[in-house]
Amino acid sequence: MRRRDHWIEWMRAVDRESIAAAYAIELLDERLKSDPSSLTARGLERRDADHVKANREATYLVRLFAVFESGLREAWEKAEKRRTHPTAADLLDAFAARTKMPSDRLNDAHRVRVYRNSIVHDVTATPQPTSLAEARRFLCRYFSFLPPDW
Amino acid sequence: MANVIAKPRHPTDNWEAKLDEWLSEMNSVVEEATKWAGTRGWSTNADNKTITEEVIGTYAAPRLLIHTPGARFLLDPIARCVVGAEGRFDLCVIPSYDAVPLVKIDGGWRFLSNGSDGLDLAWSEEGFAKICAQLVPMQ
Repeated sequence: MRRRDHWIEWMRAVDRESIAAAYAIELLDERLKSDPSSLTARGLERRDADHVKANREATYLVRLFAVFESGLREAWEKAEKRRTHPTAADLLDAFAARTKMPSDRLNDAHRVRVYRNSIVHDVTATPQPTSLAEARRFLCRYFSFLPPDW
Repeated sequence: MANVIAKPRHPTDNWEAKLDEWLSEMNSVVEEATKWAGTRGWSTNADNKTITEEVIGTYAAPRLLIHTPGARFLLDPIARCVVGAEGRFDLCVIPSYDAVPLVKIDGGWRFLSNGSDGLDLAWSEEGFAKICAQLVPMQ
């Protein structure tokens, strides 16, 4: 498999993992209904389970972006033969310019980046939220414009 | 403007004129490719695909399927608003969809290869034939 396809597959795997986690959370919910104290043996409470549910998409979105950024940095080093370490924003712009990418694809990827930053850095400004499925779609589309192999 | 399907969400100044110009540009590229394919005895099928761009809207863009004895190709319009260029098609080989971008830069169309294969060719009958030949093994 070509390197670009590997990275796209790894991004899709994060999305699938999140779907599996959603199912696990559903099962946990059912278990807690029949046995509300089942978490206490592990030193956890019901609200910990609620936090898992509330933060699932955001958690996996951060992971998804980490995979995406790692792939970009590998391509930057191996395909572009660059030794610099640009910011994620600059990296997105640089590949977009090199590959003559549609502006909408670049803007979509920046939207995910800004939203991911708002999760990680807890910034006060509220960017446009992006669902995990949407983020995966935007980042895979962006990545498909990179060279196929390096 | 028969090809306009929906107005843009974030229209650029003069978006209708820009879209008109882009539609006419795409038609010229597809007509040239049809002609060059015909001189080689390759058959072609033209149809439309829908493209949505934030600043010029949703429109029907012409694309061209090219049948040759060795492979099938798709001349596929991608977008008008492209980073560092004024329009982009991809010339893809089917079924892998490996592609060489065809971009409009400095007023002219040219293929954008990876730089090491000497295939940064201008959009011409010769360039078109060379890129098709280059794509055949990648199908």
